[in-house]
Amino acid sequence: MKTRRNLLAMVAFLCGTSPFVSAGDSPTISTKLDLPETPFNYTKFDLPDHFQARFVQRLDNTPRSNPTTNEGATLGRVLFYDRRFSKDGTVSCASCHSQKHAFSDPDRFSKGVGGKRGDRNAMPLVNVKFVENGKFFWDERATTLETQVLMPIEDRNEMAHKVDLVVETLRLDPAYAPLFRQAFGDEDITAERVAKALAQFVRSIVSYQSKFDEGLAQAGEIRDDFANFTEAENLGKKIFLGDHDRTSRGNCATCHLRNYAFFRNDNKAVQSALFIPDRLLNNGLDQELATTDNGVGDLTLNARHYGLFKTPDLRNVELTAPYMHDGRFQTLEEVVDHYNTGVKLHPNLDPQLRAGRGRPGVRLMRLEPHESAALVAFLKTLTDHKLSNDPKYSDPFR
Amino acid sequence: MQVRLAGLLGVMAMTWLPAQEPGQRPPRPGAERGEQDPAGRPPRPGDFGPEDGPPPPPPPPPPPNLIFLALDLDKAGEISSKELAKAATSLAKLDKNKDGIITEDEVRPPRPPRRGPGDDFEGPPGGGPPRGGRATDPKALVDSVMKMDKNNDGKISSAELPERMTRMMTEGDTNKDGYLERSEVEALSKRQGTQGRRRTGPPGGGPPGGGPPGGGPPGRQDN
Repeated sequence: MKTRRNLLAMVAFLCGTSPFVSAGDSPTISTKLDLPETPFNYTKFDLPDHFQARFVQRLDNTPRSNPTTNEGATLGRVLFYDRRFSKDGTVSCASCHSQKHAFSDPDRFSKGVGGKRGDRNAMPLVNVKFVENGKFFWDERATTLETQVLMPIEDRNEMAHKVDLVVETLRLDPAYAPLFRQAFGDEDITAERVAKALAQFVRSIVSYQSKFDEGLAQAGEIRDDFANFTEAENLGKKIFLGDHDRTSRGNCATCHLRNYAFFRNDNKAVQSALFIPDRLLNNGLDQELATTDNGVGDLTLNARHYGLFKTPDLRNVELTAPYMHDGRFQTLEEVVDHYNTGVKLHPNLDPQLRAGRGRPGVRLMRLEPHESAALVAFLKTLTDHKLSNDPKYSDPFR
Repeated sequence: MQVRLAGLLGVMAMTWLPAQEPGQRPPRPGAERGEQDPAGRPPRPGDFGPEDGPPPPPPPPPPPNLIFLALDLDKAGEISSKELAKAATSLAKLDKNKDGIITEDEVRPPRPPRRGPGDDFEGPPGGGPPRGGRATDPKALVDSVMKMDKNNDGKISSAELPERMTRMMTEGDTNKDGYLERSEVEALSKRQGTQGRRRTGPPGGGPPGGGPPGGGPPGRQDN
C-alpha cells in the first residue's frame, strides 16, 4: 500500500514537473518551448532620433547590476509566460499582461487564481525602461523593477503562490537549466536570477514604431504637421500639445509628455518620445477620499499623498482599455470627456488641472465634439502594431 | 568683458547647481537598484514599500536657467568643453537690448504662458475647499481606513486589507494580534502621516529614486 502510494506520489510529482508531460489537473500546459537557435535581439533597437536624444536616454532605469542581454531577456520571456508561477498553474505574468493589449489587461480587474480579482487595472508594460525613478505599481510601492516582478507571485488575488515554491518548480524542470546557464553563466536557479531575467525581458519591451514615430521622423519637430497624419490627427496633436489656440485648451503634454516644453524659447521640444509624466499626480477622478483606493496615500497615510497615482505611458493607449487605476473608463472618448467636463476638485488635484490665478476650481478642456474626436484620433496614432505582433515578445510555450 | 564673463559664470554656478535641469541629475543610484540587500538575500515581496521614503508630493515645475540654455548649444542637457570655449559668444546673445551689458532682468526666466481669456473653470458651489488645500483632517484619513472593516467588528483583518496595503499591517499592528485596531491606525498615521516630517523634494522632479534628502519622518521603523 505504502509502495503504491509512493509510486502514485512519484508519478504525480513527475507529471507536475516534467517538461514533456502536462501539469496536474490544471489546464494543459505544454512545456515544449519554441525558441530560436540564436536568441532574438532584445538590446539593439533602431531607435528614431527622438528616442536617441540624450535627455531620453538618461531616463533609462537599467541598473548596472542587471544590464539587459539577449540571453537574459530570452529566459525572462519564458518565465513571463510560465503558468507554474501560480499556485494552480493557471496564471502567468502574461495572463494579465497580454501582448495584444500592449501588455495590459482588457479585463477591468484581472482574474487571478481561483477566479479572485483585485481592485486595480493591470498596467501596460511598455517603455518601463524609461521610467526614471524605476518605481512601479499604481502607487510606486515597488522600488525597483527587480522587486516588482516577484510581487504578484505572492499576491493572494493574483498568483497566490510562494516564490520559494516557484523556484523549486523551475529547478526540477530540465528545460530551464540551459537557459539559466546562457543567461547567467551557470545553472544555479535562484529567486534573484528569476527576478533579474524577468526585469530584463520587461525592460526590453520598447515601443517606438507607431504612426506618430514615423510622422515625427519625417517632420523632424513635433509641433510641425506630420505628412502621414490625417487632418484630424494633426489637429488632435495640436490640441494635445496646447498649440491649438490662445487658450491652450487641451495641453495634455504638460503632464503626458514630460519636460516636453520646459520653457524653451526656440519653440523646439526638449523631448518627444516618452508620453509619461515625471511625477505622481491626481487628475480629479474623485472629489474626496475614495472609500477603497487612495493610491500612494493608502501606503503612507500622508494627507498630501491621498489620491496620487502613477501614470503609464500613453503609447498604445488605444490597446490598453479600460482606463485609470480602477479601469472606470471603457473608451478613450470617456477619458476625454472626463477632462472636458468631469474633473473633480480633489484636495490634491494636480496644479495643472486647477483653474489658476488664485481662483478656486478646476480647469476643464471643454473641447468641441470635433476637437474631442481629433484628440482621440491623435491618441490612436501612438499605437505600435509591430510591438503587439512581434514574435520575440510572444508566448514561447507550445 | 572677461571680468563680467567670470562674474556671470559665478552666478551661473551658484544658480545652476542646486536647480534640477534635464541632464543635470547626479549619477543615478540605479547601479545598486538590483541589489536590495547587501547580505545577498534576493528581493522578496514585502521588501517593497517606502524604504527610500514615501514618494514626494508633486513638485512645482522648475524655473528655466537661461544662462545654461544659452551655453548648451546642441541642447544635449549638458555643457561640453567645446561649448564652454564658445561661452562668450553664446552668452552675448542674452544681451537683449544690445548695450554690451547683460543685466539680471535679461537672464530672468520668462513667466510661464498665461492662460487666455477663454479659460474655463468651474468651482463647486459655495467655493469648495481652499485653493491648494491639503486633504481633510487626520481623523478623516483614519476613518477612510476603518471603512475597510467589512464585518464591523471594529478592527481590520488581513483579509479585509487590500493586498497592496500589507505593509500597513506589518508596520501598524503593534500588539501583533493580526488586526489593526483604530488606535493602531491612528498611531500609524501620526508616526508617518500628517504629523510626519513633510517630505519635499527639490524643484525639478525630486531626487532620483524618490528618496527624501532628510530621511523619513521621525519614529519610522526601517527594518
